Amino acid sequence: MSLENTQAQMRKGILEYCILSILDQSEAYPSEILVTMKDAKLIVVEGTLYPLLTRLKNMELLTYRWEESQSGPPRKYYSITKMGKTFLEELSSTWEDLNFAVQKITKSTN
Amino acid sequence: MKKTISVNIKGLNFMIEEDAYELLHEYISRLEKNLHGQKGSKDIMEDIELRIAELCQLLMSDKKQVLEKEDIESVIKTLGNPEDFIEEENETQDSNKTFENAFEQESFTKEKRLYRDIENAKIAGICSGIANYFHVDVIVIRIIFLIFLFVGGFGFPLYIILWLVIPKTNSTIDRLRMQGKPITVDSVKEEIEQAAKRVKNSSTSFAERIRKDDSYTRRFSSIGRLISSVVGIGLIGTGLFFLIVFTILFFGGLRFIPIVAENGYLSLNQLSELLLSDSNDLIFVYLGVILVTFSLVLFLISNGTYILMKVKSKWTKISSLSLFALGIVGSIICIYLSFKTSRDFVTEREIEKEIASINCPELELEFMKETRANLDGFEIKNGHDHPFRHAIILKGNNLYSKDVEFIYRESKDSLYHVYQNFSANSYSYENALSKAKNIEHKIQLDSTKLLINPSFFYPKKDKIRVQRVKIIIEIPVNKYVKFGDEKISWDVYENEEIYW
Repeated sequence: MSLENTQAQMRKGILEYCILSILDQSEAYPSEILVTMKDAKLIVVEGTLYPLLTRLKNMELLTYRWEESQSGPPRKYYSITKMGKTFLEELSSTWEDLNFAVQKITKSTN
Repeated sequence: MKKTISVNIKGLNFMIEEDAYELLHEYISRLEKNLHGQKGSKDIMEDIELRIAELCQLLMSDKKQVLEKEDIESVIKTLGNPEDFIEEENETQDSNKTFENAFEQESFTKEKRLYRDIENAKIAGICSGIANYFHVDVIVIRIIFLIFLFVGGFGFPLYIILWLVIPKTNSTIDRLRMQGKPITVDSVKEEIEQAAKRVKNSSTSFAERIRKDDSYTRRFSSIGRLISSVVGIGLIGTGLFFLIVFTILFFGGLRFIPIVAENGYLSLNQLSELLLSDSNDLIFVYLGVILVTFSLVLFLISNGTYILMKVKSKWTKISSLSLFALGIVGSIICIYLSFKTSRDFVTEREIEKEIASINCPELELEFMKETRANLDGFEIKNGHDHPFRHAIILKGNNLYSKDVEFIYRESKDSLYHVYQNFSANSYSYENALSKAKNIEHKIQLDSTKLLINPSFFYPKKDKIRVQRVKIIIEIPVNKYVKFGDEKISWDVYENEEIYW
């Protein structure tokens, strides 16, 4: 249980970071984001993405627009906001620091 | 053969088998249930439904026109168990709760209000309500109230005020607000279950216990009702008491006003006659006084009845208001009359005449004995105030008063000078003068003894207009006035007045 909890917490922050990174490159609708993330084996079930997207949107880090699709239902294209970009920059530096620290510690202990 | 249903998911139409539909339906309601109360749940639902539509569409082809159970199972597998990913979201949200989040949760879902908790009530649920609000044990609040009740005693009025001000919990939603719990389907359900349990365990509430009795006692279903009954009966009783008293006073011709007296007391009628400048105003005195008193009486009785019978309609309001208005009208009449009558008192006039200049070594003062006996046994003591000093006695066509004042002054020569000063009030100078002149007061000089009547009188038609008599005695320096056992020099009392 505590392992799951720790994993969930670790994953959640990273997931948000990744979503923002993906959308920083170009706007995308959820299914596209899912493809990228599934390729990277970041998420197992797709449902995980949606609450995160909504949360980021509510934090005004993301915004979206509707686009009709010929092949399917209308698509919700998400894009990063200015605030989201600043947020992402902060996250990136934190991530680099953490990555560096984790690498260093795990290497030295192993 | 299987039955198929046509469904529309986010604008896309699908043919779906019945069991597949049920599975999908169940999945969506599970999603909704898990998302309930969460911020942005609508957006999440929308996104997921869009994805479902998309996934379903990917499964379709020319050969495949109908969604089967396996298809829905695969869609669900792709999306994941709502319990898993939504719970995951909540957990992390809880542990990573930012200030913003905490604040939002407080204001959106944990709206907390003060209610009277009637289900856990001993009396009206004030203490348990407060305890719920501050999240403390109800015993603590009850003890504080008891302390307030015995120390200082304002616990009781405080309780009554809070009772009137704080609303009781009317619904399950109210109960949740009282406890500061979020209002969600689950919490409401839980609360209702608890309520059922509370009722089953026969609540300790006084109200609850009595409510179980027959329909008659339901009227007194709590101490609150009991108190309102007591208040109601009290109001009716007071009203009836006043009704009897006022009726006797105004219509029974009873003499009750002690200041003006023949045999001790006068009726309102007689007093009004002696005070009012215009005897036609008498009817207004009655009108005013009766309006004030009887609107008060009716107000007390009717409101007592309403409280007792628990009647509450617009008529009760209207009747109370109209009685109040009548009382105001009566008061205005009374105020007008007293204003009008007081105009008859505005101007004071006095006349002073010298009665005697006496040359003797010592002047003696004495009250006339025979007139004292006439005065109905009001005891008179030299130099002392007594309660009936200002009493006015009606005898025949004259009003008798004992408002005789003695003033001692320094004489400018070696003689005793005695002055008699009459004064009266009226609306005009002339009128006051004539009233002052109408005063009759006897003083008799018997060589070195001054015999003074302790009372004076004036005609009844002059009305009571502060008629007063002052006896001014000028005493030569180093000489005295002998009054009973006392020796009075002009400066012994300075200008202190001696009343009779």
